[in-house]
Amino acid sequence: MNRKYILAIAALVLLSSSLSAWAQTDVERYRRLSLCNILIKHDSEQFADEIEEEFLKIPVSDKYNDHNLSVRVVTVSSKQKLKKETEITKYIEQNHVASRLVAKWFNRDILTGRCDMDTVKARGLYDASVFDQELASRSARGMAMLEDAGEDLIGNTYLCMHEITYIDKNKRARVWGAIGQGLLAVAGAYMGNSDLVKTGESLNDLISTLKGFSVRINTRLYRLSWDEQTAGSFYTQHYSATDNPDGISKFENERGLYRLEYIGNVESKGGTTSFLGINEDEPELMIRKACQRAMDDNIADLQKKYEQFRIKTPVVTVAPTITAYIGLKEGVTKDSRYEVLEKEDDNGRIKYKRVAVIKPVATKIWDNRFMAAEEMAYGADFGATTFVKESGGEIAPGMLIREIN
Amino acid sequence: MRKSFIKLLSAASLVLCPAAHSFAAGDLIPDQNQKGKWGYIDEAGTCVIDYKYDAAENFKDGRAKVRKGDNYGYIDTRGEKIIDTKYNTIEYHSPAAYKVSAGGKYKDGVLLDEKYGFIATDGTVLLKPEYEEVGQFKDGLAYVRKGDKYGYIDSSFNFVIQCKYKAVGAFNKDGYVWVNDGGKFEKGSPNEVVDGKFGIFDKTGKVIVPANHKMAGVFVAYKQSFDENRLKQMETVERTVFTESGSHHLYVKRAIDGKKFSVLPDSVPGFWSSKKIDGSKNAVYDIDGNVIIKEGKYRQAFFPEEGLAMVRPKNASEANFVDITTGKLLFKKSVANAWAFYDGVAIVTNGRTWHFINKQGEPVSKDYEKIYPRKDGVYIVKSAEGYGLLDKSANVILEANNYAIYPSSHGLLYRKDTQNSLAGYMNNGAEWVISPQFSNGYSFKYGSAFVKAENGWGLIDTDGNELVKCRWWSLVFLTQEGQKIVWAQKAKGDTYYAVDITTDQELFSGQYAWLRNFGQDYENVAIVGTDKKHCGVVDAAGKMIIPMEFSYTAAFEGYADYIAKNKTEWTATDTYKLKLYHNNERNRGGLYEVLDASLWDY
Repeated sequence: MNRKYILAIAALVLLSSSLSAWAQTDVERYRRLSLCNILIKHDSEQFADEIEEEFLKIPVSDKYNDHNLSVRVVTVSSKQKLKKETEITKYIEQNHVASRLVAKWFNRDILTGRCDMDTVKARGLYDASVFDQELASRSARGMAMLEDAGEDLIGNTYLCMHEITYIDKNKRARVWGAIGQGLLAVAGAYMGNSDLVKTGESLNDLISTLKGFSVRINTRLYRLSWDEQTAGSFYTQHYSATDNPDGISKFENERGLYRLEYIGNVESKGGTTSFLGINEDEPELMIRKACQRAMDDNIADLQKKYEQFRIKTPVVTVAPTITAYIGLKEGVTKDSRYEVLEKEDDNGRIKYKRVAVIKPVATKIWDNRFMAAEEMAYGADFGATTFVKESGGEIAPGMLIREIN
Repeated sequence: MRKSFIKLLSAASLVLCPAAHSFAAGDLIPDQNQKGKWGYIDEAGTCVIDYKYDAAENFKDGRAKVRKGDNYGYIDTRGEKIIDTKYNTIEYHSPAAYKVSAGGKYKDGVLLDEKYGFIATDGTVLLKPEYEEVGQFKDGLAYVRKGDKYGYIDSSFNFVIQCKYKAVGAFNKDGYVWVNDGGKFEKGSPNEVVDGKFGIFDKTGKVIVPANHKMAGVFVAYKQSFDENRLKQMETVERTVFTESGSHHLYVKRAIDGKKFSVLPDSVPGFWSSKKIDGSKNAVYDIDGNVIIKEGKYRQAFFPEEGLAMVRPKNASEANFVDITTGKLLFKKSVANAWAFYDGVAIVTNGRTWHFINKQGEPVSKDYEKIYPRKDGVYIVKSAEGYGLLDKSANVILEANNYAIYPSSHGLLYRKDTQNSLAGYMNNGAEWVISPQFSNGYSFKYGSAFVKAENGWGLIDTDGNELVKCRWWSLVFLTQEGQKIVWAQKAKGDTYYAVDITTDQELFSGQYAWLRNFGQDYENVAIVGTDKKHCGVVDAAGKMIIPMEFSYTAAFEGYADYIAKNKTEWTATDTYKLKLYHNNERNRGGLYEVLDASLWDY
């Protein structure tokens, strides 16, 4: 379908008037990728329930837009790890996950079929009234903004399916068994569920015998497909600015038009997370710490492996030193290199131009991993990572940096 | 010869300038030559100060900051040095001083291992730059750290507390700070020092409590704790008197918490110390650090009041008083428990009865079953016959034969003579302010009191005016100041009425079995429900903003979202989504299943 026609049709839609206040600081106002996280739970495995409970508390990293759906957990009964992604892809297709991610972009009301552009405008940092005007007048700038929203925003929506399992070290099998009892006892007491309370060692005893808690996470990455054809189909056939009862069944029947593309996967090494920083009265934090760290590691590894998944994050200061709010959690190492990007508004389309390359100072990498401060990790109190310029021109605060190979 | 001479001159001019004479600061401009070096030129462009610096700032007040290599200094308008270029950093501290650092090295563009100190504006060293940290000055004092030792300096950079302590607190508003000598930080608690010896200094650096004690601290007001089980066993009147009385007058020990830069709590002007880790056999000091009670004399010693300190001589179940002037104990035989002297009297108990004593240890009141803490200058007492009232000197205001007297609130005490008589509110002198006319009532709270008259419960103000006429079977207690609507019922199990306190008008009613007050969770609305699992949100006009279809938690969260998004209307989709997000079935689907459409939000 002719691009101009698609966009012209899109511009005909009635756009929402007011936009909720976007209360962020200047440094926080930049475009992010959008991410949806789902847990694949092996429910017959040890600590599956505890892992689920802690997973549900882990927020989407502030480096991404939260694009989570209502379904956060999918269960597998078998103890066998999923060997291929095909089973997961089938789940995604059968349950039309892609169409739901699209619907979320447009705040599609599931009962009335009404859509709006509020999320697009907010995450795209568009001036809401300008956006509306340009689209209504079908100006070239308006068309470009819509294309830009498609490519830079909606097309940068990702789904991570995290298959998390607890690692049972055989040589400590006896102790692990006791841990299971002890953890349940503590969890039971914490949650007030006396059914779970059993006799067993106190957490103090467990801490003294345990070195940590390990999980293995296999994270599969999918990307929402949003090309001209898909955009055109959506705007012309499924977008409705008003209640649209007839359109509801049309969308329901055509959810299969929207797809997620499998990009690849990484699997965590299953390193042991220590008890450091965990308080006796919050034992469940141990599980959360292990899960969150492993998930963050996987996301960082996926970014290294797949360029399209790499986040951009703003430069915070340039004097006396160059700093940015990324750190170990995002996989920063002494060997990392980052391009500094200057944003240009090309009559409605956002483009990024490399202006410099920077690298982190080895001794000044911020440890922003979950509970790094509580475990007194080196660098936990830095607040930001310090960089030095490797090449290029002037850098200014607000420019975005992105990791390069 | 002439040509080469001119060449030489030209080359020289790139570096050297004619001998400078004094210029006004405004005349000199930093200038960079072709070799990248900085000097200063005048307005005519003539070089006045040689191009020999790697960076040069503008002149101000006759001086300019310059850099050579990695080090900074200051020069005057003649180019003469005021401060040698030997400091990693020079920052303004005060009109008379700079904060400087030295000894650091740049690695990958970042300055590391520098040490801080202070110099005067003429370069004289005030505090040698050998400190890893210098804190912010507050009230003329700042901490410093050298290696792993802390101390304090004053605004003249003299040491008030020598830099030899493992950890220090921050000065409190009275000008006292704790220190720890020789302690350590355990793994996982990097900011809390343990072991070692504690002490206390004042802001002049005077030792108040020498730093050679295992424990030390201040005295804080004793706070009564309430045991739920014990409260449940009490009758209504007794429970009310107990919970509303507050705490007896006594200052108890509070130990230094060891958290770096923590502040000693607001306290009475006195301190304690102990060589034992449990704080027992403590000494007591006055604010000047004079020992009032020697260490080791008594198992526990409390802060003295009016010249007498309550002590526990040998164990926790005995009490006595020591005269801090004479050192003599008041009683030959200790009592079971005692509280501090207050306006010349103290409360003591033998475990069965209570009475007041004077400073000579003589009883000055009858024995009572219980003496409650003093509140607004009076004591409520209890005997077998009932409740009474004593003044601050233990003189009887009312004999202990009243059915109920509740502690003072808003200057008024609820009083009922006998079980069948009428109740009213009196002042501290037992004069009726609101005449006895009620069959029941509660203490004043948030400016009003619930009272019961012939036709039911109502609400009055401190002048006795009816805010809500006494006509209700029950009223729900207010939960905050300025609450405008009170819930009321006409009969048990009946609908709840929302009554406007300012007009005594019934705003609306609803068949709720469970409710929260207006304003208790969110302004101008109340969470209500048919039970705790079927709750919604109602506004002051009775309109259900969120229908009663959710758990309390879901309704609470749903309303938070409603106001965050500036919504004006709750839709069926909002209900759908809120129920969905609180329904865990959405997370029970299997990988090989097609989930029901109702489990998705989009």
